[in-house]
Amino acid sequence: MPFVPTTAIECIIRALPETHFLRLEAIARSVAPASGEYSFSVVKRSPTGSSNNAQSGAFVLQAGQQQVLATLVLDRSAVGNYRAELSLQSNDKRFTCTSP
Amino acid sequence: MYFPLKQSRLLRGVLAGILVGQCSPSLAETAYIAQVSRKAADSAPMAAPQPVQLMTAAQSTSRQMSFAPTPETAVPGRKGNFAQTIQIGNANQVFQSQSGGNNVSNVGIWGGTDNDVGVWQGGRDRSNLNLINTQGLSIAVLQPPGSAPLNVLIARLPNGALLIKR
Repeated sequence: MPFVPTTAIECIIRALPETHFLRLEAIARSVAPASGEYSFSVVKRSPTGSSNNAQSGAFVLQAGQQQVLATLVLDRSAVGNYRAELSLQSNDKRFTCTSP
Repeated sequence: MYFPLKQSRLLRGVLAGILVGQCSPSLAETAYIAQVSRKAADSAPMAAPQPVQLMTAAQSTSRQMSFAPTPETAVPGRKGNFAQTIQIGNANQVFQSQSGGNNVSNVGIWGGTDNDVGVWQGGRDRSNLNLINTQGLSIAVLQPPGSAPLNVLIARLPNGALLIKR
């Protein structure tokens, strides 16, 4: 669950392995009001197949708020076989985090 | 009145048939309600009975397929995007692109091989696509912002036929 601490915005990819699934959550957290655009992309290559997921949109954060921007659920075979990247663009600043 | 065992069974069968035949869909009370006495119903608050499922099963003449998400996939209302890719098979490829917000995309490939699925959603879109035992299919789902929900099931039946259900 890597994250990039900044003065205003934190970028988090939360990986939650479940019994049959792997849940990935793209999360943004801010200590001050912030807004911008996000993009969340995940590539998976496993014996069951491959998948490319790209999610994007806008976000608005209140001070101290944590928000799940996007959620991706993959089959359990994705554990150890995926690469996720979350990018946050806000006020000409870019924050990026990856998983694993 | 005495009936031999065989006749008794026959009589019960006839009565059951008559009862079933007389139970028209317009009846307001279900068997569930009839088993509860008025006194008990008045004294003990109960959750509202759910005759809808019973009536639907009894009245339905054309079967409608619906793809309710599993408990694991149930998604509460959200502003963000939600995508799910379940692949149980071999060499399947899934691409999902979601822009804007409030998109929900479920792609399930159950037991198939060499399938290629692409889903593009522009915002406020919902789609459920499930492939069962299919091989070598290429499917694209294109949903501009605010499109109608899309539910599709494609299955290769044991007799070799391809079932496409929307």
